[in-house]
Amino acid sequence: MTTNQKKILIIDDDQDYADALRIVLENHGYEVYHTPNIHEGRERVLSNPPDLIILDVMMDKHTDGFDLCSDLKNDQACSAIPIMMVTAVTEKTGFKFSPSTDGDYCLADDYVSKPVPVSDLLSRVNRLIQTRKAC
Amino acid sequence: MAQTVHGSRILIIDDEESILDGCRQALEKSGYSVTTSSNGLAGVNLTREIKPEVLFVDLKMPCCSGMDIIENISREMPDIVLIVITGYASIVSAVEAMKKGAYDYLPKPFTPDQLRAVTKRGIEHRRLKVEAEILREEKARMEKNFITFVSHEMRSPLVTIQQYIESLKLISEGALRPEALEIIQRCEKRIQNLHELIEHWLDISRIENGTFSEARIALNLTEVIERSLEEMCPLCQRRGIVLESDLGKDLPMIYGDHESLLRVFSNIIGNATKYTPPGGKIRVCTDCDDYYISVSVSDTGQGIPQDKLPFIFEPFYRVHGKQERQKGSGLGLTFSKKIMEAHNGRIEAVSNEGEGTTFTMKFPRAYDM
Repeated sequence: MTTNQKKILIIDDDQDYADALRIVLENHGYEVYHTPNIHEGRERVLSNPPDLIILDVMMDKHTDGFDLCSDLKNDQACSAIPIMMVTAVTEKTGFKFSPSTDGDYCLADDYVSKPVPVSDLLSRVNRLIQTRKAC
Repeated sequence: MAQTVHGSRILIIDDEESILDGCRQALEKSGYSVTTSSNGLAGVNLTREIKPEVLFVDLKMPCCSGMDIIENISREMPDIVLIVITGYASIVSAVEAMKKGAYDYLPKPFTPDQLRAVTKRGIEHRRLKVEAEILREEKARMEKNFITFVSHEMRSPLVTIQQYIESLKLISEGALRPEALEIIQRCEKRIQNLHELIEHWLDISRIENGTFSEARIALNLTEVIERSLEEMCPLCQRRGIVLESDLGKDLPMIYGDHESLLRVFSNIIGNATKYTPPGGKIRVCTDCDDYYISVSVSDTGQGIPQDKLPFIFEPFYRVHGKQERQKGSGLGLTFSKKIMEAHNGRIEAVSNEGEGTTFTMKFPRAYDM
């Protein structure tokens, strides 16, 4: 295993969904970790900072993903780590706050609807990790 | 003048001081906080200031009509229980006052016990009304949360399956036999259909529980249609169908929800592509008269038999029965109809078998913008 392998942390309460992403990402040489809730996710980010966070929205609470995103982006220690929000939530569900309508408010670096086509996933992940290297 | 006695706040407006004194004594004895006014206008101002639970109004006062007070207060502060005080001879006006929003009436002369009984009933009525309102709000909130919850629970497994299929396609690249790949493709198609079904079901639930109408803004239909045409153009090209339009430049604005209407137009055009053979044509036009703005979508497809036409907006109805199962969610037209109704509009279909079908969506013109 090479030492400069990029680390991606998936925070999603759906183990299967995380595994589906993991298969693709590992296949393309990324090192993938998964935590099923935002508390373990937060610890992991602080103890072992990844190069990218893939974050679900609705977990234990409807707003878990937004809450964690806001916390991390407002914390100097980890605000530079790119966050990609991945969610099946849309404003149509009656959910008032949605990144597609309130994008300015949401501090995530990217936002994408589930399911994500493989090519789309890889190009976004690649771009986000590149951006980080640049700054 | 306001008393600091604990208990419900009662305000009495009557020009006769002796009545005011009598009422005050009777009600204060029962623990109510009583305020009085012998002048109609001052009484109305006092009502706005202290927001009583129960307001007694004498119908006949020299300077100001009790009827007007009833009418205005019931409109302005519907939570206040209004009770009219009236002479025996004016039962007719008591009835009129109740039509205008009074809850009860108290005929003169009355005893302290009668006054207390009417007051107690009024306060009980208010309590029930407030409770009912809280329950209604609670119910609406639960329904809304329910939709959010169910949609998440139904979507999540589907989304995960779709994501797995994506992974499967990647890791099996070149390793699977064409038959196996075709099976994967079929699975994908059916899951996509189920996904659409859930989306449509959600839309319909949203319309039914009223969440939908919150989203209405002033909008230009031409813009919505143009977006829909852009969306549907690639599909028409793939199917070899000509998509043309004749849109009015100065259509009046309507109040509506952009996204929902966009999906209505895209649904109807998408529907037309399914039943129009290659080389056919779909035409979208707008029209406007003093009452309605109409949008029509005509195709040169196979048409819908007259006996089936009345049922096409029913959920899961299929004109051609079971062999049509894979064509869509079965809720597209139901959804479109509901959306049109939520816009106070309607949708109609006219069809000639072998010649084509025209769907017309009519929106009432709004003159208040």
